[in-house]
Amino acid sequence: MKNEHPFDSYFKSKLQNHKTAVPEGLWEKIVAGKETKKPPAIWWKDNMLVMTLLCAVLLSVTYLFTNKTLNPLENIVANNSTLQPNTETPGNKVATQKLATESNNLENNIIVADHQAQPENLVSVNEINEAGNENAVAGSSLKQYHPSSYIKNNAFLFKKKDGDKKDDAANTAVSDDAFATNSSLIISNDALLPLTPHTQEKTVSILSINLSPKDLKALSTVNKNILGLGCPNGFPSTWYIEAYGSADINMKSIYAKDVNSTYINKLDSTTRMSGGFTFGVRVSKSINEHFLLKTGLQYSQINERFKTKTDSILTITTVVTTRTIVRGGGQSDTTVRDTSTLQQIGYKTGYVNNRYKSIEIPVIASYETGNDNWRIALNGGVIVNLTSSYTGQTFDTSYGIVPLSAKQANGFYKSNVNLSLYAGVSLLKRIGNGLDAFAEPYFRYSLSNAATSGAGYSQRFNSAGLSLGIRYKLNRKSSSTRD
Amino acid sequence: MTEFELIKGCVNEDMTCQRLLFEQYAGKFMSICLRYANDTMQAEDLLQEGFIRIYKHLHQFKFEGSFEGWMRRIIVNVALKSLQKKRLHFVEVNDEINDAQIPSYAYSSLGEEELMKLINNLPTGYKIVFNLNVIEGYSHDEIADMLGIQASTSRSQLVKARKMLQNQILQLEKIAV
Repeated sequence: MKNEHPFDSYFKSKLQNHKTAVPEGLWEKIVAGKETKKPPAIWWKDNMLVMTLLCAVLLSVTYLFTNKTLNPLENIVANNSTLQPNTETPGNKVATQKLATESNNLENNIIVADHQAQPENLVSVNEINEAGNENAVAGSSLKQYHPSSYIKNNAFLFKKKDGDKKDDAANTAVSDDAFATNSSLIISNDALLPLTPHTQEKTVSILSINLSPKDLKALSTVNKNILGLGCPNGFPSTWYIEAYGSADINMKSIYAKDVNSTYINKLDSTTRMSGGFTFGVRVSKSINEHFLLKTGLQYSQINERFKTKTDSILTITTVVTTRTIVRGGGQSDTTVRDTSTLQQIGYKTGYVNNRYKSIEIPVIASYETGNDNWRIALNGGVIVNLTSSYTGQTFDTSYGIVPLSAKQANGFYKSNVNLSLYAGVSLLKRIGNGLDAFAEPYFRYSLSNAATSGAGYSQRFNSAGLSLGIRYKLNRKSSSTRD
Repeated sequence: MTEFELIKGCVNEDMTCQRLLFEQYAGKFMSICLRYANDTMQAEDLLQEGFIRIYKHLHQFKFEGSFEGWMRRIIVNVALKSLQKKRLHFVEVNDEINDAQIPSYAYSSLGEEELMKLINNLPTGYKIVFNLNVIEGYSHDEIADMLGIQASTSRSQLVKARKMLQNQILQLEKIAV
């Protein structure tokens, strides 16, 4: 047991049970404070809900688009794998036998042969005219193609003429000349379907294709990829690089955790958001015709104006009063100077610009559609914060002005504020060869509290802005999408 | 209403009980807050925050030990948390500092308000340690844990606080004479 100092004992006896008058209205403040104080757990639940919804949306979108791409031409009759004897049916028996013997030709010449190309990247088939049992198999199988956005409402036309140069016809089936001179794609059906001995001249007309000149030009440039000849994995990836910058409007939400509402109200009333900006670079990769993934690096800055008020500023003004006493009778005048000081005690108002700086990685999924000149994209994803730093000033709970700094002990803000959700709509305009300009209004919602646990309150910054930028296609020579 | 009933009523969010608890203890706790805070406004904020915490955590009270002591600890913790955000500096001083005592008649006439003023004139570090050790009865080891400082620092702060208070009292005596 400690030996108490008489001096201490006196203080203890006097002050331990000392009561002081309680300010009026404090009970009402406590009641109000109890009701307005929101448990952090609710916020966490809210965030979990948002995260769950976001994941569900992303998974759904991913499934929706990847499901289409997972439909290669497995069942196409022209594919060697389906033309094996063990896949024969009575209707296609002759055809498959012949094809089996001419497999070398098939591998090299048939448009869709020997490739697991994705249907939407190839050509569409609207109608297939069967001509004979031999071709029925091909016709029925080719019906499994899906329409493409690039060559819509078209179909192949396959013709058979006896005496055609089988190899030449086959080899030039997808030549530039064919595209340039005729909107029908002529292929010897020797390549696609074998002749039977009794067939002399027969238009098999398995498929017909009608292409617009623009599509044909596109096809002629990149025919191998479009037709799947140069793309064993299906859709050819297109890479873009995007550079962008945006002006942001920032919104701050703040609520008390371990501090009272008076402090929060004062903190809130002395700060005003004054805009911000973001700039960065992203790389995009197309997953399929419409779906892209984007990631990169960006810098964002939120600006805030903090109003400081310094109390008890003493201003001393020195006043010098000069009086002249005029004396008559030829005497000289006398000048008297009185010096007095005027003291004024007041407060001084000043402004400090607070800056919240972050380096971030955007991870964005984008659905894009449109025509050659104009395209629109829906973007959604997350922005991962790498690091944040802060400059400026704020109040502590005793209303003293202290510097903002995440690096110092007891700092107010975290050096890493984790994740934000991102949603935006892009409008893209072709401005050059492989070059697009885009405008992207967006909104980002912060999932994490930026304030440290020691700060005693929770603060989030949400932003809305308009990104302006350019996008450049990196692999223009080999891709099938817009050039 | 017994203390048990009062506590149970507060736990059950009974506003009458909560109001009764507030009226019963607000004066004492305001005095505590004033000893830690820099001004009345900050003390009011501390008291408000302290009562909100008391109501929030009242269900955790096990009815072991003094209920008032349990609440006092919450109030003191709220006050300390608030003050620690100001980056307290506890300066190490020589333990062999002169600890001469002044005669008891020098301070025996001082009332509570004067003692409060004297305490509030102390530097923050001295004030906190003096309040915690002398008034609240925490040991130096406990203070060291609470403030994240060495026990020796707490001791030295107390000695300096006491010395400064005594000097203030002597100054008051001189003025009175």
